[in-house]
This record gives sequence, C-alpha cells and structure tokens, in this order.
Amino acid sequence: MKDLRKRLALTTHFVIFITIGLAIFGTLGFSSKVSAAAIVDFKPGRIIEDSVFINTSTMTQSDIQSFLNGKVPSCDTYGTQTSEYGGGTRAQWAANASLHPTMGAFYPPFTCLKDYVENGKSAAQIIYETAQQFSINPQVLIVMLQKEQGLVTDTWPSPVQYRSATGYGCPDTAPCDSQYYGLTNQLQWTGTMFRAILNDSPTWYTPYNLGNNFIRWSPDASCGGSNVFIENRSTQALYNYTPYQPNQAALNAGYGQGDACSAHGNRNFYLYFRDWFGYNSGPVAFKTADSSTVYIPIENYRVAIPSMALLQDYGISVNSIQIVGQDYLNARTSPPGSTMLSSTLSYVIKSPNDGDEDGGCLYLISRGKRYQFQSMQQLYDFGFSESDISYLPLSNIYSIPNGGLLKSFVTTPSSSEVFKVQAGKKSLYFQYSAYISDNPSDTTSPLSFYLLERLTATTPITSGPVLLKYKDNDAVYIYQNDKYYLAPDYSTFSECWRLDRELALPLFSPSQNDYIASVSPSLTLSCFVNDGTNNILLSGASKLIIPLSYGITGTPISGDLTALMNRLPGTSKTLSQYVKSPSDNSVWLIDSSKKRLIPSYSNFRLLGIVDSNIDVISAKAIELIDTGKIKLADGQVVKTTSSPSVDIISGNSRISYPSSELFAAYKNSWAGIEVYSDAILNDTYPSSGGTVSSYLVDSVQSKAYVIGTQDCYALSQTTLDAIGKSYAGLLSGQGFSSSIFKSINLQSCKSSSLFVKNPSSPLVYWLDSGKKYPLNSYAAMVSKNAGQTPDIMEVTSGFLTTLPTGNVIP
Amino acid sequence: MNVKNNRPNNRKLALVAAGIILVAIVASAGVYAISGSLFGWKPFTSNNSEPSTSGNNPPSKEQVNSGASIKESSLKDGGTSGSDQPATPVTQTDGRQLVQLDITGVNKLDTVTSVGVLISTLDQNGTCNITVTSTSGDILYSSSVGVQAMSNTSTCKGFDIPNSSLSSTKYSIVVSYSSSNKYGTASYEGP
Repeated sequence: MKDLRKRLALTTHFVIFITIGLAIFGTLGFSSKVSAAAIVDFKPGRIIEDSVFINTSTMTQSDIQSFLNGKVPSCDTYGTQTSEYGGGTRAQWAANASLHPTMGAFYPPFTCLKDYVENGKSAAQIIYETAQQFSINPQVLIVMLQKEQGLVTDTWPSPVQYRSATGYGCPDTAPCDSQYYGLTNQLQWTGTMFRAILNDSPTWYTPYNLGNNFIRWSPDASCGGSNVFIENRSTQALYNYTPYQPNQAALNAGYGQGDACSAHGNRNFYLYFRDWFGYNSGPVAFKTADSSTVYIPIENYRVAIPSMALLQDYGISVNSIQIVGQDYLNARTSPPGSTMLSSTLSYVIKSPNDGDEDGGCLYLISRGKRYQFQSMQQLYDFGFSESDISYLPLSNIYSIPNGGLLKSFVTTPSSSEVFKVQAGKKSLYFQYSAYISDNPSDTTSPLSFYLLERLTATTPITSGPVLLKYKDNDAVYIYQNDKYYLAPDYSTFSECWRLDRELALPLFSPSQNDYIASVSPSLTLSCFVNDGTNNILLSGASKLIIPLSYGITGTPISGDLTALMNRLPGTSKTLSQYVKSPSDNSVWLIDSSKKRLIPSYSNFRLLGIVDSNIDVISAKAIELIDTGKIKLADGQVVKTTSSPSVDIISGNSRISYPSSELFAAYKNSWAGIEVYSDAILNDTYPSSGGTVSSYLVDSVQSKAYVIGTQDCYALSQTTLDAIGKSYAGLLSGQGFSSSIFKSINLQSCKSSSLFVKNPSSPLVYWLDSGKKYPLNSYAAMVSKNAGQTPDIMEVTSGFLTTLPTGNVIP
Repeated sequence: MNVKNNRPNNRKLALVAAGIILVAIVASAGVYAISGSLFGWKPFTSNNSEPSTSGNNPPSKEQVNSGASIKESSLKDGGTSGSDQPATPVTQTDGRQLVQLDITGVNKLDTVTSVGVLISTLDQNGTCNITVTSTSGDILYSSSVGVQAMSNTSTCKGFDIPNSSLSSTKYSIVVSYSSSNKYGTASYEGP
C-alpha cells in the first residue's frame, strides 16, 4: 500500500511538475513574441552595408506604394479614433493648440503617407525618383521618413511632419518654404547629403569620418560617449545625419525608450530597416577579383550564387557585389555536411529541419520575396524537383520578405499579364474573363522574368475568340479554339477584319513574344474571302459580294472564320465595278481581276461615271487587287509625248485626226488633249491605223453625215449621189463608232445641200456626179437651184480636196 | 489499534492524479493553441505563424508605438524632427548662446591630420578657428574656416593640419566657433 501511495505521490509530483513546466514553457514561448526584443547584433561602426545603402533596385515605385499601403491598412482621415496622446479624439487633440503649443493647432482631414501627393506626385513616386536621382536605396529613404517623423506608420499625420519629413533642418538665413520644407525638398536634402558623403565629396564637410570618431550617447553632454570606428560611408552618412549612437539601455529596449542618456535615431534606423527589409549587415554578396563565382554569407559560411538572375531574385543588386580578398573568402568555407546547409543557392529553399518553426516549408524566391509552396505537386508544377531545393537556416529564410503562399496564378514584373502554371508550363491568359473564371479570388504571385523563362510557354487560355498582336510586327492573329488565323499586316486586320471595333474582341499583345508557344497559323487572311457561295470583300463595315465577271477570287473560309465574318455588321450588296479608297481620289475600274486607274476627270466623265457608281472600299482591299493598265474612255483625245499627232480613243485603240482643221470641226479643244508616254499609249491603246474623216456614219441610225466647220449635215441620198458616195461605202471605211465623238450631236445636224463652200473662201461649189463645180456668180448658183437661193454647207478644205473639180459654171 | 482502511484515500489520490493529468492535457493543448507549435511541427501547407512585419505586412504594435513616440517628440519640438535633436544652446548672461562643440575625431593621414568638429546647432554663417599649441605654449598651427550646415547640426569646413606642424610629441587643439549670437569651444589633447 505504501508503494502504491508512493507511486501515486510520485505520479502526482511528476504531473504537477510537467504541468507547471508546460505552463511556464507556454507562457515564455508566447510572451517572447510580444515583448520588446533587445538588440544584440547592432554594430555601431557598421550600421548598414554600403552595398545595401546604394542598392537602387530594391523597389519599384509600385513596390513602394504597396509597401506604404501595407504599413497603414486604414488611415484615420478624420481623426475619429482616440488620441494616443490623450485629449479626446485625435481630431480634438490636434485642434487643441494648448497640448502642442510649439506647432499650433491642425485639423482633419489627415493624409497618410500612402495617399500623400505633392506637386502632382505621390509620395511613392517622390521616394522612388529621389532614390534613383541620388543612387540610394529607396528603402533607406522610407526608413528615414519613419525614423524622423514616424510617417510610414502614422494613420493621422500632421502637416508639419511632411514639412520636415526627413527632419532636415532649415538654417535661419535660408528660404525655408521653397528650399527646405515639404516632402520633396526634404528628401532632396537627405539624398544630397547622403550622396555627398558616399562620394566623399571634397566640398561636403563631415565631423564624422571613416575611422575613429568620438560619438556621444545623447545630446546631453553629461552622458558622455565612446569612440566608434566607422567602417563604411553609409554608417558615416547616418552619424553625420544623426550624430549620436544608442547606449545599452536603448539597445535593450528594442523599439522602446531607453534611459535618460539614450538616443534612438540610429537605433531606430537599424531596427526599422532590419525588420522591414532585412539584409542590413554583412556583405550582401561578395566575390574575389579573380573569380566569377559570387557568394552570399550564410552564418559564417559562404554559399555560391549560380547566376546573376538568381542573385537579383533574392533582391540583391548586381551592383552590390563586393570584391573581397582571398583571405576573406578563405575565412568562410562552404557549409560542411554536418550543418545540412547547401553550398549553392537555388530558387527553392527550405530549412534543413522539418521540425523548425515553419514546419520545413518550401519557398520559391522571386523578386526579392519568398513564396511558400502549397504542395509538392506545386513544386513540380513550377518545373522544380527535390534536387532543386537548397537548404538555408530558418533565420536567413525569415530575413527574406514574406510574400505569402505561392499561387498557381502568377504575374509578370512589369505588366498585368497573368499566367497559369501547371506541369512545368505557363499558360498566358488572353482574357480577364477567362482568368477571373479560373481564379475568382484574383490572388496572384509575382514571378520574375528569370523564373518565367524557366517555364515553357504553352497554349494561351481564352473563353472565346481573341486577337493577338506581337509588338514587333504588324501581323494580327485571330485565335479561337486553339487555331490561329493570320492577318498578315495590321491594315488587313484594321480595314477588313475589324473584329476589335465591330465585335469588341480584345486585342492582346504579350510583353514578351515567348510568353506564347510558337504560333503556326491555320490560314492567312485577306480582305477577299470565299464562304463557299460568294466571293466577298470585307471592307470597313461592309460585306460586298463580288460579281464573277470581275475575276476576283477570295480566300476560302469556313467554320469559325465564317461564323466570325457573319457576325461582322454591314448589309451585303454587290460590289460596283468602280471603286476608290477613303483617303485617295483615284477611281479604279475592276476589270478581269485587275484594277485599272481612270487617270483623269475627263475620262471619268466620258465613261459616264457618277459618284453613286463608285464604292468606297478600304485602301488595303484596293492594294490587294493587282494593278492593270490605265482605263481611257472612248472619245478621249490623246497624244504621245513624242509625236504631234492627236488621236481619239476608240475601244482599245486610237484613231488619228489627220488635220487640225478636222480636229476643230469635231468640236475638240486643245486643252482637252491628254498627253501620255509612248509606252503607255502604244502598249495600252495602240493606233488602229484608221483616221477621222469629214464623213461620219451612224450605223445605228443608218445615216451618213458630213462634219462641217461649224455644223454637221445629214447626207441625203441626192447629196450622196452628187458626191459620188454610198452609205455602205462610207460605213465600211469607217471602222469605229460615231458614238466616240461626244461633242458631236448628230441629232441636231442640218440637212445636206448640193452647194458647199469653205469659210475661208467666198467660192461656192455645186456638187454633181462625184465632182464639185465652182459657181462663178450668184446668178449661176441660183440658176442651179431652180431660181432659189440654196442652203450652203460649210465644209472643211480637206473635204473639198477629196472631190475632183469640174469646169467653172459661168 | 485499528488498522485504518486506506482504500478510500487511494481512490482520492487516484482521482486527484487523474484530475491533474486532465489539467495538464488541457494546459498543453492551450500552450499549443497559443504558440501554434508544441514541437515546431506544422502541416506542410499551413501558413507559417512568423509575426512578420517585413514587406507589405502591417507594422507591429511596437513599430507603430515607436512611430507614435517619434511623432510626439517631433510635434513637441514644433515638428522639426522626432529623431535626436541636438542640445539646445544655453543663453548666457550677455545674451549670447553657448553651443555645445565636440571634436569628433583627430585622424592622422599621410600628410595631414584631419580634425572633425560637430557644432550642435544649425548654422551656415559662423566661423571656426583652430589653434594648435605645444605643451610649452607655442602656437604650432592656426586656421580659420567657415561653417557648413548639415541636417540639424553643423560642422567646420575642414581642418587639415599639416603633419609637419605636429612634430611635437604632445600638443593641444582648441577649436572655437562663433556666429552673430552663438559661440562654443572644444579642446583636444594629442596625440
């Protein structure tokens, strides 16, 4: 029984011991996370590394904005919350000048740093531009704003905090408002001072220099100070900015207040930088001068970085690589096997022990952050395997900013493109609707270019037809159901297949051509298509059916393409034979599969064209039709450059005017003569060998005429007999249609007469039996006309010369 | 002597022990719940519970409080700065202000010895004088330079004493600063 009691007593004691132990363990474990942690690794002579201090590529403007947003999740714009400093609400405290008499009252709305705009620029933009201007890490400037005014975390900043945002003082004699006050000016001065010291500028004097310096613990001289060996320019810059070092009480207090002799400025700089951005001590990356291998320090070891791309993905600028001596390198060996750490870094990291606080999670490194893999399958999906994992101490892993869980949807660094990653491949989303359907939470992980390049591009993802255009050429692809249709140039797309404007199809241009698997088009598009029934011209908002007689055959389309084409608006009508483009006045005739230029307005009129006969079609469509010979109208008077001979167009040939007298008789004007090169006219409209004469036969009306100098005359049978001609004879010798003479209206010709004369002579002839007889007197003329004064035809001299002359009639 | 039956007591002890074990289990579970990890193990896909304030995460309460403290300090000072402000000059009976002056470093370089001076006030129009004397009172070197303003303090525009002037084994450096209504002095014994 005693044994039993003893056992029970022992058991009781053990349980109580364990309980108390666990309770203590639990309490300590919890409280260690919320209590102020003393700083044990602050090096007063090396607060931050130069390579970190000058690393300008740590954050983009967008990164800065996101950072500022993250640090103030909710801005107390109207100061409705209780003031940390007493005095009611924040708005009430601010308005009560007696609580802060040196600065006076201020009032809502309060603008948080994330929302602050000065001279049209956001705080993020000002920070980023200043950092770039002075080649200083933007993170340094962010921390300065926090260290000097608490602006980064402040949910209700006052105007004076922006006025003196980096605490850069204004000398009494300086124009404060214009040169010193305001976020921009303040950052400019900070950048100026830091850069001058980093450059060891001979015109910028510094009380603290590299080497030994006496630095006080506090502005209170009675607190004393100590010698600090300043090791680098960045630390020199910080001490010249804030000339005190933290004492032990300040370091012990973490973010808290030390004692009466504590200064906190440089301690706060160190703390905020370390906790917000990590990597502020030790060389970030180093190499020897005679080796290309770059290392980063991990504990007391060196770990090789296999590529500069990886280095940058770890958030380390290539510019920050320090050249170290061989001794430095030798002092840091690769991690021995007993540490279970890797000697070479990779994109995938984890701590060596699954029992570590994070449970041995796997992380992907991208763009300066770590993203936690959610499963081994996801590791494989991103194209990695177990052999790609490198092992780092958990503290180092934690020093890399945490990006959260890795998503299977990733974005590119510089655009809004989103990919789905699976099976080692990336699929680009062409449409937001398709993306949001797959990923309703719209949460993505940013992936660097280098990581994206590792993934093979595959078929893009869409929920319907989309348009694809690469930035470096004009081709546009229609993508639908895994098929690409190529519009070989942008005008074919924009003027004919106007799917973006007419159907609002999204036009997508990948920022990198290799974001999409190599494209092999199923068909090259044209403005002319054949849907199996008709040849159709797609032009602007019209679909025009092309008559077979035009000789134009479109590209055969079917299926998806036909459906897309049918969705294009515009009523189908027949294409006119005359076309022009919207931007050019040239009118073309479509003839035998070619377009023929109508070269002048004169031809335009002679062809009888009116505006309603012309279809205005896209310039691209016109370009696509082969060009044929020019089109001259019947009746157009032409000459070549090399000959004085003047011709008239008849059909596909030309007829010669034998004399200027006849040219004038046919009512032509000299200004109406169009001149063409010999080559064009002789090739397109060769001379028929025929000539224009004073006789003109209208085969339609079966009438013959004489074209006089002023009038034309319908030849009666009597007159024909008198001049010894027959209708049939004249018709057979003509060889062209009377209709080509547009200025001659045969309907208005006068009746013929047996009496003729040329206007240049008073002599009148009487016609008879194929001859002309000069009439010597008026009486003779009246005598030949049965005592009546006759009508006299005024004819050309050429006409008269064709008739033999008989005896003079006295 | 009656022998006391101990069985009921044993039962009580057993009940007490069982109760304690139960409390221990509940306490352990509580510890696990609070710390998130009894032995550091977690499921593979869980979010780690690291209280990160880095990146775009919200700041910690300590960081916010520190920021509020900085702001309060700044506003008390008229908004100039929440960081460490230099000591306020002390007004003397003659109306002038005595400024704290520190010789921050005396660094011997190849040909000169550089003397750094911190003037704990913001000024850009004053004058600095340096006098180096030997132990016997001989003036080894003297010079006068202007004042350069920095963020909240100022410095003398560089004192580079030729090393040839400091051949004496012992010397004394006195730096003085003066402007229209401020002055200060600091000294250094070297080497």
